[in-house]
Amino acid sequence: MSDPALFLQAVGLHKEYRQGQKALEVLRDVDLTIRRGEFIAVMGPSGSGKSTLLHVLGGLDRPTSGTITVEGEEITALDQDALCRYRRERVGFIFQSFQLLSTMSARDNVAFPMVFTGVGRRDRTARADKLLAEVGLAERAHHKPSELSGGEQQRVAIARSLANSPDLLLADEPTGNLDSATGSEVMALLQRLHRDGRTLIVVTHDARIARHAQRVLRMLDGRWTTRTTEKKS
Amino acid sequence: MKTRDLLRLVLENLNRLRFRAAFSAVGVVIGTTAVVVLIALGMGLYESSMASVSASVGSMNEITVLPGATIRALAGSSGFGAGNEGVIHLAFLEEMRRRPDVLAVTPRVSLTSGALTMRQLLLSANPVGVDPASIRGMGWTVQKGALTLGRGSALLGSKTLESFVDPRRHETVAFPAEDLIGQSLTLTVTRITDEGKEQTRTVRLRIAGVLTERGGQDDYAFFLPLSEAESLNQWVSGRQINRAREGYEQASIVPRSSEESLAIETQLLTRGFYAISAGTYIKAFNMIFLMIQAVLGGVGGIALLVAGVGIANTLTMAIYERTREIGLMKALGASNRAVMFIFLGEAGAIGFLGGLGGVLLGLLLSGAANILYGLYLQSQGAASAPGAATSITAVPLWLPIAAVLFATVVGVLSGLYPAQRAARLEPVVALKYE
Ligand SMILES: Nc1ncnc2c1ncn2[C@@H]1O[C@H](COP(=O)(O)OP(=O)(O)O)[C@@H](O)[C@H]1O
Ligand SMILES: [Mg+2]
Repeated sequence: MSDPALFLQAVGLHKEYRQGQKALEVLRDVDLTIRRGEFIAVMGPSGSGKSTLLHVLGGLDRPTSGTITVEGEEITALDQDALCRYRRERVGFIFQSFQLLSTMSARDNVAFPMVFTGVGRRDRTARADKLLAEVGLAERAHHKPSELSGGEQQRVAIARSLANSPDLLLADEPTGNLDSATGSEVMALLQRLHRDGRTLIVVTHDARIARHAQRVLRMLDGRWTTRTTEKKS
Repeated sequence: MKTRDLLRLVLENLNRLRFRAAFSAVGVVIGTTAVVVLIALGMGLYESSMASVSASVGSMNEITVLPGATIRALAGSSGFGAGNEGVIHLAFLEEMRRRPDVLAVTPRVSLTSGALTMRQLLLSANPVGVDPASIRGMGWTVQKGALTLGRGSALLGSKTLESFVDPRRHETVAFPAEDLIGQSLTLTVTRITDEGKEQTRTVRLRIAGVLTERGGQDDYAFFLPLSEAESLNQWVSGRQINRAREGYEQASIVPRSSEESLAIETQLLTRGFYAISAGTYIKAFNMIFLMIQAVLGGVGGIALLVAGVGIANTLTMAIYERTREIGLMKALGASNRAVMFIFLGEAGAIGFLGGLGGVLLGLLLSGAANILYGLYLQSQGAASAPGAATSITAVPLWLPIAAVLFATVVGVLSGLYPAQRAARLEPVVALKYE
């Protein structure tokens, strides 16, 4: 707690899904400490609870028990509205399946999150164009997702995740739907975001991607399997 | 989330889902059209009936009193007291005259057998005897001449100016009012003696004034002093009529203010008289029309509510189709409230746009109905008949506004359930939805 670089601390996270009589324990006593600006990779077999952890950390879902504190604010204690604000202002999600709205242009997709933070239309468009330029898609602003390649779509989604300048980026298998060449492109982009100082948690199956992370955490049946492995400082 | 952005998003979503939106708006268009057309028809009916009612009644306050026996004879005994109740005898009139809430009272005596002539012309008008002392209190005014009804004089209703007939040429002759003032009219009454011989008696009456038009039967009347009418009637019937006991066939009472007329009418009714004023009649008329309107509007309203069910259904279906979109909005930080407003906005906008369409269509249809009705009247040659309505529908300004508002409210209400469902979706579950 005294560490000024401490960004996020999760203590004793449990997540249970109840299905009738049976209770499915997806997270079992997960602890996690993340420093500001860290790049963490989370690996593990399918169904081990990686996505659930990401959702809980991003305020998209609530743990059954345990606490998550982000920069001194306990987000597990927030009410519904405050949790929405946390998602809106401090977290950027990147999904395996991109989750772009197919009827909107790339620019409108990127501008969309700013509708909910009350940014004016002119400013939204300007910022969306700037973000699209940053991910190398300045000329594709008017294209619909169906007119873009998978890698381009994921870059639009990454631009969108940056719309409200979040501190924390959560990516759930961002290259899972991409071939290895475009996957590397996307990965390079994520690395750049990390270098720009953002805190990044990436769930991935791809060991090559995990190599770029500062720490790789492995999950099995809702628990960490190994001790935290520091790679770089 | 800013209201302007909410509206823009709602419109963009509707545009995106325009076929579905248009489909559910069709129901609203039909419902609103029904509301507008039915109420416009009701209003048209009301206005044309009102026009003919207004043309046939005179002063709003003036209470016409008939003896209870007259109504008992018409209605077959029940109601309006019995026996000697409700007789307009002299004591009753005197009692009415003394009331502080009554301005004027007069019996009205008709001459059934009277024929009027002026020089060679016939005048078709109803001779009515009234109390000369009452005419100022009755609120009459003259357009020409003097408002007096002395011995041997008469007052003409305004419509009688056009009621002179030249019997030799079989055509009507109209006079300007000033040409009649001071002219002499001959009133001839006829009786058959017991031996079967026809006898006539004539009276010369000088026209003192021509009354201002007031609407109603009095415009066609020819007023003479009560005493002259009484003596002519006595001569015709050959007997002395005891008004103190038998009473009059009709009387008019003018209350001091219109608020008092209903109270007086009610009192007279409980005393066995038949009493009604045009104001009361029109109030009752208005009540009936209000009910007709409520029924007509209600039928349209039900159509609109059915359309609301259609909107609810469309939006509920849309939620399944848009589950991932809702999940995404939530992942991006849209609050439950924002999601709800978006869906409510879409429902309200469908209602509003459908309402606009329905109002336009309704106005078009009621306009077309008027044109067709006009053509029909022309083909019947009835377009110029006095008091005949030239339109079958009427659209008061409030109607389109209220119809659009109502359609919007129906839209929003039908959006409540789907919007709430959308707002409550779990984001994680929604994002995984296929
Ligand atoms: N909403 C849910 N209801 C019930 N079980 C769920 C739900 N979401 C996830 N699970 C279960 O939780 C386990 C972990 O899922 P997940 O976190 O998606 O794993 P991973 O991302 O590591 O593949 C899986 O067995 C999955 O079936
Ligand atoms: Mg997963």
